[in-house]
Order: sequence, then structure tokens, then C-alpha cells
Amino acid sequence: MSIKIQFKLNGEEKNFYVKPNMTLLELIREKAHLTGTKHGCGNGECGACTIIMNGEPVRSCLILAVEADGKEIITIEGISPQNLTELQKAFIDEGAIQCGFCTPGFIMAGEALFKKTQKPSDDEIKESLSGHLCRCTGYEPIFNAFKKVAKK
Amino acid sequence: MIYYPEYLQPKTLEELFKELPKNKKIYYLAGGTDLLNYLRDELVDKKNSCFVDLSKIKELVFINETNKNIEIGSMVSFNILQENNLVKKHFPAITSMCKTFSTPIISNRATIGGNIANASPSGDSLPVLYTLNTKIEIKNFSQTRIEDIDKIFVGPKKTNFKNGDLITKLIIPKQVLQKGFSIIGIFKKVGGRKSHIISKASIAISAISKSDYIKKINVAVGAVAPTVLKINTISEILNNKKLNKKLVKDSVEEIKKVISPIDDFRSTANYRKEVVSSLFLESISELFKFNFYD
Ligand SMILES: Cc1cc2nc3c(=O)[nH]c(=O)nc-3n(C[C@H](O)[C@H](O)[C@H](O)COP(=O)(O)OP(=O)(O)OC[C@H]3O[C@@H](n4cnc5c(N)ncnc54)[C@H](O)[C@@H]3O)c2cc1C
Ligand code: FES
Ligand code: FES
Repeated sequence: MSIKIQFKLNGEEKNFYVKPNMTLLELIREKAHLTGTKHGCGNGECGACTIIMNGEPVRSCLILAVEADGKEIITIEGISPQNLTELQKAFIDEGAIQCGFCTPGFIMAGEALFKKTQKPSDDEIKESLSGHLCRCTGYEPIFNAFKKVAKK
Repeated sequence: MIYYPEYLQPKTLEELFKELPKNKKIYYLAGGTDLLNYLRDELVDKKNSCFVDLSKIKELVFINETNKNIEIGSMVSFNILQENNLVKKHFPAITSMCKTFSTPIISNRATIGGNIANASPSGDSLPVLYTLNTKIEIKNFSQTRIEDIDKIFVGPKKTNFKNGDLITKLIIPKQVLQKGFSIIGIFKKVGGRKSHIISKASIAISAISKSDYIKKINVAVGAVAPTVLKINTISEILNNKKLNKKLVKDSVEEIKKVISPIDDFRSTANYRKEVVSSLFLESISELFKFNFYD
């Protein structure tokens, strides 16, 4: 039994037939073949699978694919297909990427934050980073990259 | 043969109970922050089951004031709850609890109804709702019943719900305050990682007081027994009293008496007793702005 769903994925209308128990993360990676969104813990704790759904950052591992019907979804591939964003540049400048597994999640959280407030406070930055785990950088460079954009 | 659940996405309660299959196991889908974990861990029955997505039912998202109560729809998320002014004014313990609930990205989706139905003894909303004498409205087809929150839990992750029972709203009585009195409340928990944890021990306190005089107090603890525990003996000790160190000490003794820790791998009995006692001291000290530690 499959259900037809339709939603906007990175600006394009898309149709998929999905099983009711498929997660949105599985759909994005395995059916839409967008592998920038990562599968880390699969239970909402690490943030690697973060995408933006109707303007809000959400954990795609905790959402069923069928729930995407009628929604607008942006993944890391759709953030800025041509150039790097200010935040992406800041990540490079500040050395906020090592293995890079966590990076798409942090970028999605950041882009959602900067869309809401151009000059977030330190606390607002920390809040948006909370629930994103990074095993490499120790968070400091990531925070600094956010700060750099907030100052601009 | 691989089986798949059915999926429904009703727009109203009427539609829901019209379409609800009678012979399938029903899984209501609220924020999905617990259910999707069960799905991943293969704990969801895929044969002969049905997911009922509640996200389109607007009737379940509201916070209203009536004559005697505040009513909260089951699909209200923790971040909406945290910002709500009626809740801030009447139930400071709820607001306090929302502040420590997970991370913003999870509280955006996690609902109060899901927290209750999930029935984990470490569900953060539960001890708070116990201190507020909350009633829960449950619907199933044409039947509606209202139950006291402490009556619906029968064990860890177990409710007395029948298949298809839907939590529609919470009904929380407002307190009548005499002049000079105010309502105070607090929630605290401990666990591995701050604000991103399933509590190992938690405490909620709601009280009506005037400086250090307590008119009425309710204390409940979470994650230390198969279900949340409201410690009525503490109310007996502290109601209609001016708070002092002796009374606080007696209350701590009551806490130690009632705690029967869950024997899971997470922590040991004595540890939990110590932790809850110090959570209590910390909470009381913060609420009454006095150091009751020594
Ligand atoms: C990373 C992470 C952090 C977390 N942190 C916390 C925390 O700090 N504190 C805490 O208490 N919990 C925490 N949780 C657990 C979870 O978020 C909460 O229990 C949440 O309230 C569940 O709500 P939901 O809307 O997501 O429920 P769902 O997952 O949609 O549903 C949970 C269960 O309740 C049933 N259900 C849902 N709504 C209803 C209804 N209206 N009527 C009848 N049954 C219903 C479902 O069928 C399911 O069995 C965390 C989870 C994650 C993934
Ligand atoms: S994979 Fe979704 S939060 Fe870790
Ligand atoms: S860079 Fe490796 S996990 Fe963050």
C-alpha cells in the first residue's frame, strides 16, 4: 500500500509514492537521492538530519514521509545552489568543519535562525546549536562562524 | 509478505471517528518524537494497524479559559505552551517545565497529549500535571470520558486506554486566591545532558503562598517509580504552615520513604533518593528565596 504525496522540494514540485512507515529522511536520501542530509542517530538526538519544513528547522528522522504532503521543504542542497552562503563561508574561514558529517545540520539550523533574526544574540545562537552534536570540532569554531555572520 | 500500516489524516474529530477502523491497532501520530523512535526500533505493529495523523485537526490546538478551569488541547506543542500567558499566570510550574524540555527543535513538534499518552514515568509534563490536579478528556467514537490524571497510568509506559482512545484536552482547575496570596510553581530534573535528556529524576511543586506562609502545596516526583508519584504526606506537613527548616526536613524524610526506584540500568535506588531530596531542597529554596540546605 503506497500513498501519493506532493510537495515542494528545494523549489520544485515533486511527487512520490511512499509507504506509510517511511521516514522523511529515508525519502530524501533514498528516493530523492539528496544525500547531503545525513542519517546520524535516527532518533532525534544528533541533528544531522535537520531540514527546513515550512520555514522551521525540523528533524527529518522524526517525521513520516507522508507528513510532507503539501509542505515546502528545503534541504542542504537547496540552501544556495549556486554560491556559498555567508554562513557556509564563515564555516570554512573559522575551521568549523572537520569530518563534515554534522555540518549540513548546523547549516540548516543556522539558515533558519538568520532568516528569523539577522542579528541573533549569543544565547539565541547557542539555543539554535543545542541538540546538534559534533564529534570533531568542539563547537567553538561553529559558534564563532555563527558569530561572524551575526556581526555582519 | 511485508505488511504496512494504513494511514489516515482526518481534518476534524468528526471525520476521525467516522473513518477510524474498528478492527485495527490505532497509533495516533502527534509530534512523532516518541512514535518515530518506536517505529525505528521495530516496536510498532505494522500488520493490521493504522497511523492516524492528528496534525490537521485544528480543534485540538487551543488554550482557553473557562469559569473554573484552563483547558489545553492535546495537540498543543511544548513551545506554544511555554509562551502562553494564561499558563504563565495560572500555572508557573508548567512554564518552568517547558523551559527545561529538550531543545527548541524538539519542543516545536512534541505535544502535551503525546507526552501524556506515552506514559513514561520520566515524561516531564506528568509530575507537573499531578500537582495541578489535572483532568484528561478522552474520546473514543461517540463516547467521552474525563479522568483524573493519576488514574490513567497503570505502569511504566502503560495507560488504561483502550484501542482508539484519543486524548482531546486537559482540564486544569484555576486556584481561587485570597488577597496577598500568589500561586508559585517549579519543575526540576536531573539526567545525563542538560535540557536534552530523558529525566532520571524529576520534581514538580505547585503552591499557594504568601511570603513564607503556605496555604496549599502539592509535590510530585517523576522517573523514580513505575508511575509518577504525588506525595500527599508532604502536603499534610506543609499546608497552612509557616515554612521552616524542621518542616522541610520532615518533608525530605517523606520523599525518602515513598521512592521505590525503577530497577533499570540507569541508576540505583539510593542515588535516586539523594537526587530527589536535593532537587526538593533546591526547588523549595528557589521558590521561597531562602537556603534550606543546611
Ligand atoms: C531528542 C529528544 C528529546 C526529548 N526530550 C524530552 C524531555 O526533555 N522531556 C520529556 O518528557 N520527553 C522528551 N522526549 C520525548 C518526547 O518528545 C515527548 O514524550 C513528547 O511529548 C511526545 O509527544 P509527541 O507529540 O511527539 O508524541 P508522538 O510521538 O506523536 O506520540 C507518542 C505516543 O502517544 C500517542 N499519542 C499521541 N497523541 C495522542 C493523543 N492525543 N491521544 C492518544 N494518544 C496519543 C501516540 O500514539 C504514541 O504512542 C524527547 C524526545 C526526543 C526525540
Ligand atoms: S538522525 Fe535525526 S537527529 Fe540524528
Ligand atoms: S565535523 Fe565531524 S561531527 Fe562535526
